[in-house]
Amino acid sequence: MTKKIVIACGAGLATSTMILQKVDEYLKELGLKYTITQSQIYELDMYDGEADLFITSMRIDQSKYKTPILLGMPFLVGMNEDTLKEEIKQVLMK
Amino acid sequence: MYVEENLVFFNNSFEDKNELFDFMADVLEKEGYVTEEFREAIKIREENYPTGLKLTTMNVAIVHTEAIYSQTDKLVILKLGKPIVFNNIETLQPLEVDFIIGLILKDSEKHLQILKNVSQLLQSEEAIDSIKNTASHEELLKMMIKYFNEKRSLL
Repeated sequence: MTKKIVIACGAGLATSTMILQKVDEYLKELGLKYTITQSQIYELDMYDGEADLFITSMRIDQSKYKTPILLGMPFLVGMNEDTLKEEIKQVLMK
Repeated sequence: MYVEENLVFFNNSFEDKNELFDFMADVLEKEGYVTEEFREAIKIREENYPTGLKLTTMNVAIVHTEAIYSQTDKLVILKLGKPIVFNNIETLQPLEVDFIIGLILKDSEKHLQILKNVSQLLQSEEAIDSIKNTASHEELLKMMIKYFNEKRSLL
């Protein structure tokens, strides 16, 4: 089944694009079928429950959402990328 | 060209981030690079969605607004004389920042490459260290031109 990933930041523009480039690369590596949507954080409600994974620049309250949320920061600064990749894999391949 | 001499600043000091944003807005408005609404928009956006990044040797803020306030695609670069308190993009905690990249981006298709370059700069410890060690406006300008104007892609 195609996995739906939503990547969100404040403006839905700069930070999410930088995160997206890395996520896209990694998901190709995993060989999954997927779609990626870019959004603003306040729009996440629209995708809640439908998307398989949210990746956000800012820490947001998981208890408000059904869709699992991961933080995209490692892909922005290049630190702890492997941990994040492992978490993405676990969410999407479970 | 994303980097211009008059948009690269070395050693300027500001009391706080609003003073910095006013400074940026003055320069950018004068050049016709942003709309008048940019000044308030960037302050509000930074308040709601902070852009401070904690890197290994230096903290950086990648300040920007929604694309509608930009009239062009440019980068504003400031290596500050003294750190300004921003907030961490992820944790929202206060973070002292020494280096500012202002993303003035109009078009979301065209700017993919420049965002990729910014992203690669942030992730290169070597690049961040050399920025940290720059000692003059000229040196910083040269480095930024080399980084953003001359290299199409660093991949």
